[in-house]
Amino acid sequence: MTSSRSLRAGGSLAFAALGVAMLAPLLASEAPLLARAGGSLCFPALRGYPGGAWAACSTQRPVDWRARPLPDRVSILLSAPVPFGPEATNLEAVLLAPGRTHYLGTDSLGRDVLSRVIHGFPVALLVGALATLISLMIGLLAGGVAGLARRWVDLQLTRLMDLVACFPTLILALALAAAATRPGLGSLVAAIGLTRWSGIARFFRSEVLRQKRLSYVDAARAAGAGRPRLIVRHLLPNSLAPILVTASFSVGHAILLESGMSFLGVGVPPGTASWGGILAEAQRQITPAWWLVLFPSLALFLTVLACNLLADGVRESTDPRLSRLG
Amino acid sequence: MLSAVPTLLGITLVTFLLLEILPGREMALARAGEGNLPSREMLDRLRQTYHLDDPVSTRYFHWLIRLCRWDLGESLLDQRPVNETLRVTAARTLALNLLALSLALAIAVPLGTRWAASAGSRRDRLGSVLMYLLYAFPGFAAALILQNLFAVRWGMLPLQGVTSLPSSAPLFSRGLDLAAHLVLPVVCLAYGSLAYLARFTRANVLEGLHSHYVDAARARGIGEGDLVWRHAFRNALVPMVTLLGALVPALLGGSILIETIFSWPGMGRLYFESLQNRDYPVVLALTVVSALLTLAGSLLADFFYCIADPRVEMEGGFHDQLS
Repeated sequence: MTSSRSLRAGGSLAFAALGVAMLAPLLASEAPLLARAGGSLCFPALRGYPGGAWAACSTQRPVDWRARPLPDRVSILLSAPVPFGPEATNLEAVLLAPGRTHYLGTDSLGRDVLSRVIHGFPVALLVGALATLISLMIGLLAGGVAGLARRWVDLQLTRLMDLVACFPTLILALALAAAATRPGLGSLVAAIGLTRWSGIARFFRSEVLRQKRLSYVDAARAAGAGRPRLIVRHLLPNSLAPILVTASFSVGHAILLESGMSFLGVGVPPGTASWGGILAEAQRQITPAWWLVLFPSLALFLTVLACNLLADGVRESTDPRLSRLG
Repeated sequence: MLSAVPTLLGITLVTFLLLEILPGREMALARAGEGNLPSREMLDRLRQTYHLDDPVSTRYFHWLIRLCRWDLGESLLDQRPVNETLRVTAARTLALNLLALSLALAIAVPLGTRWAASAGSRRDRLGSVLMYLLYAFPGFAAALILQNLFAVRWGMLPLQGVTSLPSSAPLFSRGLDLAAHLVLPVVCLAYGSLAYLARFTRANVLEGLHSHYVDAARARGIGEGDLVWRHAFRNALVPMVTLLGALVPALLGGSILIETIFSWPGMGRLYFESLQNRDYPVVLALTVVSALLTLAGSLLADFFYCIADPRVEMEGGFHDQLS
């Protein structure tokens, strides 16, 4: 794969995933995009966003958009492309195969699978990005300090990295998630972030050790730069490309870990739409429901693929040595 | 080698502290009794066994001493010695993992080497793209799809578990039955590392093929096949050995999901269930054992690395070559 091709493919996939994640409340919602209530227009679907309360229709009581007929003087002008919320159950449409009304079928509570897959995007990307951010912060700090500090500190920090690397990621993440006093999205992010920093720390340490010998570091030192300044202003920007590569891979891995944990039932809070949760739902069915397996897997696959392609694209376009090896 | 000792101690300390902050200890103790409420004697006995009235540091040392004697305590759920449970489940998990690793290697190494030998050809490019896609497809999702197809839809293979025959059945048919139960878990576990191994092999063989010693060998008139297998491939073995050591934690982690999906009563499933049930002695033992296995994997990898490449000396952090 040539560099521009994987970068372009990864970029467009990631862009699409990000777009779906950002637009999820508009793409799949039982509240219509545009409605008329008592002569004035309103945008009920916007309520899915934080701070979107103003968009609700100014009726005395909140409108139940699934009720038929709708209340007096309320009418839907434009409904969402997928007119089902991710948590809206419908016990008359249980385990339906993909069809006209439910494009990707329904689960055992009659929830629309497409809506849940769409709403899985923001959850997966948020967890992946935030967890990576945590591992990046810890990893870069530990790696940078280890690379520049005295031999004794370096040794201790390296030992700590080796130690954390000794625990299989899923085992450590499961234990950390179980240790959280308040289970939820926050502790899930922390559990994933805290298990995945040692690889980043090791990589940044070796990067610092490599760059320490370069003359620009000597020049910066001679100009009076201290260790913190050296890390933040010189070493970090100069290793930005490999850090970006690592971060991009890491987001993909964190998303995989999240879906695995949600599959086991200890990931995102129950009820919240997540791909791993849909897969777990599929596992619980006695009659085979292939649509519950296939579609969340595809969403997971495409997102991880986007992260990997992006990482490889950045690596290939910044490291010309690699293009020779194809 | 000596640098492993602090790591070893660190592993026990981290594990112990991790379990120390797990909430629900009282609940777990309360459930350890026969009925709804544990008897006074039962609680007192547990308090004494686990030194619950002592400070954390004392408890840690007591636990460490017992660990050194390989006394892992007994399960809070069924009061069986953890040691015994561990032996049974670890054997099942190791069998699964060894089979899976052999399968992955048997497919990935020849494939990757052949692709590297025909680098740039259409077959190589197609294979690379395929492996790339495979690499991004999560193993446990693939396991669910395969289970859905082969076990549920077509009924060719058993759905889950280890055996479906009574122990009175003849040995031969029991063996066949076990093999049938092994197919799906082994394939799915192998799947997880297959793409990675193939890509890794290809990259390393390719790097060898581009180096001067291969040019020199080619100049001496050695055939292409020998160049690939005798020269480039043999040198590619060195980084592969290191990779195998690094694969241990990935395989152990993957076992949790695969064993849960296929109800394979191994270490992974036991770990997850014990964590859910707050069965502390079991969780402690399994966490330590899995970390020890990982450590052993990387030490072994270093050891073989030194044998495979005499230029490398055994010194410094044992993970230096991994990073």
